Amino acid sequence: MFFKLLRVFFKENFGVRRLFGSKVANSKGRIILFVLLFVYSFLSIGFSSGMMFYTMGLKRELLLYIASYSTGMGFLFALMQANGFLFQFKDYEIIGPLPIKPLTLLLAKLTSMMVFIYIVTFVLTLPLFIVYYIFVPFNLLSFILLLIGYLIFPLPAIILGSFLSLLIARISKNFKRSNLIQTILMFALFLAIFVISMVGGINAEQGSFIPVWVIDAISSAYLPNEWFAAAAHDSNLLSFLYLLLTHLGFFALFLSIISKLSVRTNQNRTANKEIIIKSKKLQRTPIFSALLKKEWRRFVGTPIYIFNVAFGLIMLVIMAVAVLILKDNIPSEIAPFAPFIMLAAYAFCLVTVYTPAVNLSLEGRNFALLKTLPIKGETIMGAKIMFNLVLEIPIIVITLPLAAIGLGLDLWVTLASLLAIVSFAIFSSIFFAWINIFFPRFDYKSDAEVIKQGMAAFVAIFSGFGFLILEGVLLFSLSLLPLPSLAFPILFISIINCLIALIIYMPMHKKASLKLQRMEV
Amino acid sequence: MLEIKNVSKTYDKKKLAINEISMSLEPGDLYGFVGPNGAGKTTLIKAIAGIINYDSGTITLDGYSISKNPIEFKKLLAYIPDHPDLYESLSGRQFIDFVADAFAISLERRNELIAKYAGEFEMLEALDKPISTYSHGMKQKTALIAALVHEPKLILLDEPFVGLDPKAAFALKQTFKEITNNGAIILFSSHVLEVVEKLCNKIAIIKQGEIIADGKTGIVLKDRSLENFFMEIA
Repeated sequence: MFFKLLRVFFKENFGVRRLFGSKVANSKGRIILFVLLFVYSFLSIGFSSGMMFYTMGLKRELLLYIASYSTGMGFLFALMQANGFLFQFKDYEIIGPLPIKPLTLLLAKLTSMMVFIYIVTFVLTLPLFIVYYIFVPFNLLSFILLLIGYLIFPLPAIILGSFLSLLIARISKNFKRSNLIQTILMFALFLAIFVISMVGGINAEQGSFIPVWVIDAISSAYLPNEWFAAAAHDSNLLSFLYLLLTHLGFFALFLSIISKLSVRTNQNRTANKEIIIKSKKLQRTPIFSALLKKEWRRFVGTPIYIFNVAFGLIMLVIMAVAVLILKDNIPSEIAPFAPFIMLAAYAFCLVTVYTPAVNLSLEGRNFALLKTLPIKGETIMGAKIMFNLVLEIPIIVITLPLAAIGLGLDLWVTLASLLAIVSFAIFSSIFFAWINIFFPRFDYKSDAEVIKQGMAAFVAIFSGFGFLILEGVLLFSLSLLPLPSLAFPILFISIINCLIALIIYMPMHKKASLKLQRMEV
Repeated sequence: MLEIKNVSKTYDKKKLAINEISMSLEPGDLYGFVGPNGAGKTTLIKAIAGIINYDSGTITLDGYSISKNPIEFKKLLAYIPDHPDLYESLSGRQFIDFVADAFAISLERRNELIAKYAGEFEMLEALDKPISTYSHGMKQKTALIAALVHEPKLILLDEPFVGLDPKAAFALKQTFKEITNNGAIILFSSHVLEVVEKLCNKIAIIKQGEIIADGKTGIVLKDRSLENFFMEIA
């Protein structure tokens, strides 16, 4: 029965239809486009970071980076997914009444979650592995130890993430606004991890290359990192044995604990605390504001939505404050590149704020209702774009000057940068809205299918990164010209952003109604 | 025989969903379960199906307890929720096959029963299409076929007639009669009082978590219609 369950869970969780939606699943062209974008993005990002290690000759550190990366990803995925996979099955009404042993069921669920985590982390770290084997001669024993080590190394992080996922779900259930509390707890946890790694990094006093000091900080605090590196890089069998026994031991303990816990949590589901809502006076609102309000309510009512699309904004705030506080510790060698680093960081974070790429799909079955209302398509899409800008622009306007002060940028470069980033936000919001028009998905069961695994979300992020790299190259090339200030090339980039934004907005204004009308739920 | 003795369930240790419910269902019983929204019908059905825990009392089927011998109990049970959220990436046939696998039904028998019930519910052609393309009624029919394919002794259904077309509703009523004639027990909740009144040999009315009327339909109703009786007491 285990394998039959596994087959069903794989199909249900990772099938083409599940990943792309039933309509897009029938379109080979869109899937090929998606795969190409995916491969391009991950190869370019992975290889570029791998090559940084290569150029600095940091072989062992690269391996530790891979380990830290997969551990982090394992933790993150477990934190986000374990509650649904292990403790609150969405399909419990179907499988609960079937005569299947709880342990078999749990093992199948756990396996499907682990396979998902490993596939994602493997895809993300594959370019790094390739770089590693470019400058380390291949050795079969090391390779085997590396492979097994890679599989068992993230286990404690996955276990920790799973329990925290359950804990956060349990705590948030006790509050009236459980969704909001869940989001706040998740953010608090991530910020705590981020701050701890920052503090560790500062103590490590190696400020020039961020991943290295993060890795060193983690390695000095977490012994298994060293075991993994010794086993996989130096073929140290004793270290491998330590790693194997401790991690498998932990995992066995984890299994024995959750086998009973899983049945209990599934059978003891309780409703969220009832919210007593005082009836408010009805208010007449212009349709655009009403649509914006609707977007806001959807946003704050869906933790996974906030967590996935607002993290970039939180990072901007943290980065700006950190730069301002630590301005005296910033190495002087960074100064010439400071405007580029700041612009890249802002654009990078803004690409991760992709609400217009998913908020049309998030209408779900309600889209049919929206279509029947006398609202123009361009108003609907305009509100979706505006909502993203409402989230982004205040944060940009407040934090960018702070970051600029911290980095010691002059007034003109700061103003030009502000313009460039705001124009990038406008361009990316409109562009993302187009992506959702091209890749809509209304036939989903859980919001995660759209927000985390949706094709539009992937395409938006990947193509956003692609555009960011192009603009980065262009800006750097322009900066080599003999111009009186860097503000000029940055202004030029702003003009390009505005022009593209205008060019792609015009057809949306004209055709959005028709496009939305043609979409079927 | 399904025995429910003094079963109570609270949510958040405060909100009493069902209170000291006792019922006895015998082989061949077609039991209609009616009550206002939020009265506790679904809670009781889910507790019998082992989907949710109950705080006190016992639920046994042919001597097996759902809390102490869940696997043996579930081997005799089929449950169909009011909104069957089936695995949408599977086809109807793959889903039924999966359920039949869980009950270790022989290939020959499952093919025979799938052909019979898919024919009765007019699902023969649709069974090989993905469930994601099904309407609510088709999902309901698929869940019904999957439930019937392992010939359970107890079938629990939450609002089974919602979303069914008239032909399928008729076929379902016929199937109910056929399988209860063969000795199975059916317990279903419904707001369609006429159907319950005409179809069931026993009824139970639940209000605020307590059974307020229970027994043979004729005896409970006397010469009143279920609708009138329900309006009087509920």
